[in-house]
Amino acid sequence: MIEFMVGLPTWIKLAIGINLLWTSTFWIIPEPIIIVTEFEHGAVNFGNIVVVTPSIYDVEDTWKAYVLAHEYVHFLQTSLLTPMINGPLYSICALYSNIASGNQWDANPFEQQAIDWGDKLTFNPHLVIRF
Amino acid sequence: MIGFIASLPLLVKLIVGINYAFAGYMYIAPPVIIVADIEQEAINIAPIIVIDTEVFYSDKFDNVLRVEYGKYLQSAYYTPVGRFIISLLADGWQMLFNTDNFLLKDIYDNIDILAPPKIIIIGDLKFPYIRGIL
Repeated sequence: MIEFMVGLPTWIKLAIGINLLWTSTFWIIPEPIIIVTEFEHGAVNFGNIVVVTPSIYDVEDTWKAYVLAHEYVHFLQTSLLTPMINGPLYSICALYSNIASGNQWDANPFEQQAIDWGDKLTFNPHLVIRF
Repeated sequence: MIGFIASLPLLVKLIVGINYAFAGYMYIAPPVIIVADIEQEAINIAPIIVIDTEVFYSDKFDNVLRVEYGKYLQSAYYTPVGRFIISLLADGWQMLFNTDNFLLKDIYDNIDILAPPKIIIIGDLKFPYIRGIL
């Protein structure tokens, strides 16, 4: 292990270090920051940030609860896999799903897990920024 | 797994986060070296290495620093909490089977390739509270 660590190129150490520091933010602030703004895609997760459109966020119904929980699952997936592994892996799965089923959800295990847990989890955000 | 992670208490998540933060720092930056009067030759707490003043001024310093740097690299690799748990296992294994401590053996086997790091020395300071803890 010592030999392996000493032999690692500096740029790889830097990448691992940044990835771990980024991952630490997912655990120290254990929920995504919700940005409510006009957004054509409804809701999307970007690591620690979830962007959601007011037409979803401002209506208190089961759809809002589901969407927030769904995006929270993506946040948890990233905190588990770390951003630099989760990002590329998600992209590969989305690409596969697009080829296999014609969209990025149906054959994408990340999305299927988020869809599955979207109905089971409750996520009440505390960090909400409105633009 | 998702349900389990979501249900973890805040304190546990905080510990995991700080553990990752330390490990991340340890990949990027050198250890913080503190020279202080302590009972052991040196101790290693996440990114901080405390070296005894007497050792600091002795011929042993280079060797002690290499060993502590080896532990620092192990802590980055396994994360600080991970290395602590593995070190307990290594100690137990050593006592049960009367063998070398595999973590320390890895360091001593590679002592020559462990270049003393570019260090930040906060010293020759006195930290009575550190001695108090120990």
